[in-house]
Amino acid sequence: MEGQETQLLEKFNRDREWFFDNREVLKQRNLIGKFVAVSGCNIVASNKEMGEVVSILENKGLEPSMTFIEFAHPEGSTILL
Amino acid sequence: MKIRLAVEDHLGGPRAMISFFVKSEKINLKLGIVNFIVDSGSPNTMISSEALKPFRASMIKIRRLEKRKIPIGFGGSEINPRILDDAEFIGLKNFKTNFPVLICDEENATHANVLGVDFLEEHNFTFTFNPKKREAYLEIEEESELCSNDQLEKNETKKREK
Repeated sequence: MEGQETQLLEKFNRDREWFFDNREVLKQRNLIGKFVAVSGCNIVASNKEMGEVVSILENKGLEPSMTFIEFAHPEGSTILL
Repeated sequence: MKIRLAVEDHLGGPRAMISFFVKSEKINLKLGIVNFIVDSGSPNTMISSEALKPFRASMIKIRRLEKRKIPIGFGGSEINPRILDDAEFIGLKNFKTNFPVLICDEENATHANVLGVDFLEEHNFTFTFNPKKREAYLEIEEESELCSNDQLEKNETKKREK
């Protein structure tokens, strides 16, 4: 893997960690039930539709395919995979 | 080789997670990062089509992919995922592999990407998960199919024999 790709993956992993460590922030900002995009450990887009999140990221000049995006499930949601 | 996994609270409890670059020519997926839950209870590896939207993968081409003949239970519902047989996974520590995955493009299905037992088996991974210590690893012996063509041939022979 190229150095740049390694950096992108490590950045993605840091943003993932931030998302799961900051459920309270998601709740305070009424983001439960929405797709939330995190970049540089900041929330950069959110919407109930993934397509809208992608558009917001593109408008901000961010690359959606390299950005951590996750659905903020309500607290207590349990899913057996 | 030992790959440390993230452990995060998600969908009701601690989950082991790993992210990979994924690409596929068949659905015009150039390169994007997918976050997977490593699930030793899931026989199959599957990506939600929602996760592919940021990659500008061709939804038309996804809908043209062959559907799995037998439905599977996933997240409490029965789904008929599609088969993407040219997916390429690239991860940290120079991990790179081609592996067929299922694509779930059903609207009401759970938005989760799962790295299942088929992936662990194919790559001879040992999955270690201690939720209390919040530690998880994938381990692979150096002389595995990832780095030994002889082993790969042996595995292929065994598969044919089965």
